[in-house]
Amino acid sequence: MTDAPLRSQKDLLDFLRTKVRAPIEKHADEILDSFGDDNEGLTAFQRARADLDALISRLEHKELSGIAKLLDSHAEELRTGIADLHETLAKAETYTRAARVFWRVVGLAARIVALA
Amino acid sequence: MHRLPKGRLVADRLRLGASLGAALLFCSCATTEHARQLATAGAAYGRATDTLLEATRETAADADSARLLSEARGLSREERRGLLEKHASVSATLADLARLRRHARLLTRYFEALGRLAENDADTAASDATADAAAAANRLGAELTGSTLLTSAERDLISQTAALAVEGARRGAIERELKARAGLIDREIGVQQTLLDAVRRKVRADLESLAVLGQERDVTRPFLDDAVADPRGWIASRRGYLLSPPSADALKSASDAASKLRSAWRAFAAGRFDEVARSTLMTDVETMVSYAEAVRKVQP
Repeated sequence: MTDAPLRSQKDLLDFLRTKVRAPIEKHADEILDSFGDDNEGLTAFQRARADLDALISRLEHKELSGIAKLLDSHAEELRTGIADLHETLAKAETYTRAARVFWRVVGLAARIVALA
Repeated sequence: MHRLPKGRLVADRLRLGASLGAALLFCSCATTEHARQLATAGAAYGRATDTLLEATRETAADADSARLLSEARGLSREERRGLLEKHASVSATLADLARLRRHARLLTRYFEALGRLAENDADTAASDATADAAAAANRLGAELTGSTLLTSAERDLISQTAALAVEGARRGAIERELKARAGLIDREIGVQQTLLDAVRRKVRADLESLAVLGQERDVTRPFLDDAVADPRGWIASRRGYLLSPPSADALKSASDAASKLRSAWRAFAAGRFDEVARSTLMTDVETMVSYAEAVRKVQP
């Protein structure tokens, strides 16, 4: 059986998580017990596990910070959009006030017409 | 007798304007209503993503602690110190997730602003104000001349015209906003798809570690070593692991939600409305929130 080649860092990250770390975690206690009095072997094994975690952590950081960087590039324009929308909403509320004033004037005009 | 024709002239002009206005109002309502629905869905998506990212942060921190405990077994104090230092890198991932939460909140704010603009409160307020003023003018006319300038149907039309003025301004603003930023929002949601895929894969791995290492640490090992000091606590702990957390497959809804939001947005920007995408998006958003809440509940 041959595994598909790892085409990207995403593939590598998933491979390390699911095919390397997960099985080790599943059998960690059995493996540790198997070292018996071999403290050196046990320490090396635990150190290797920690190194694997650090590598996965680095890849995760790279993936997530890459995505955040992409989103950062949109953030300023998004903030401008929010400001524009708020400004327009404020204008719409001004229209409402203007409509109110306008119809008071119409009321007054009707009064003048009626009195003429 | 000469007063009435003047009053009628005013009334006729108002009536004509109001009729045209009412016709236009009918045509434009669909656009703002669709914008409102899409903005509501977009804001719900943003809030759900924020909740999910917070659950992801907590899961990441707990999973890292569980690994730390497991990897420290059998090590000397000095080795443990080194191990702790190696695991400090989790802080960078947690900071990334916090940064991504800020983006989810920014997207939420954008859709909330769009939604407020698309809501019809301002139209209604203008319409009510106008109707009140027109009615007052009419009462005055009736008192002074013994006849009304406008019928009640005509007054209604006039108040609709006021709503049109405000609604038209909002519709124009939404169209301008689409012209200015439809592409940006499309790209933003595209990145969100990538983000939610990354989150789904990370949460799945972290939950798996939490379950496997936790069960070994809290249930299996104490039992095998005949070291269950608190049987009730052990039973409760075992129950927690047996009644497993929700499957991370539910997180597929998260990736799907971003994809549906993108479909709904693209349709809207093209002048159409994808009701199927919008309604199924709301279902996915609910699944995302329920999942995030469930994950937070099961964590130690």
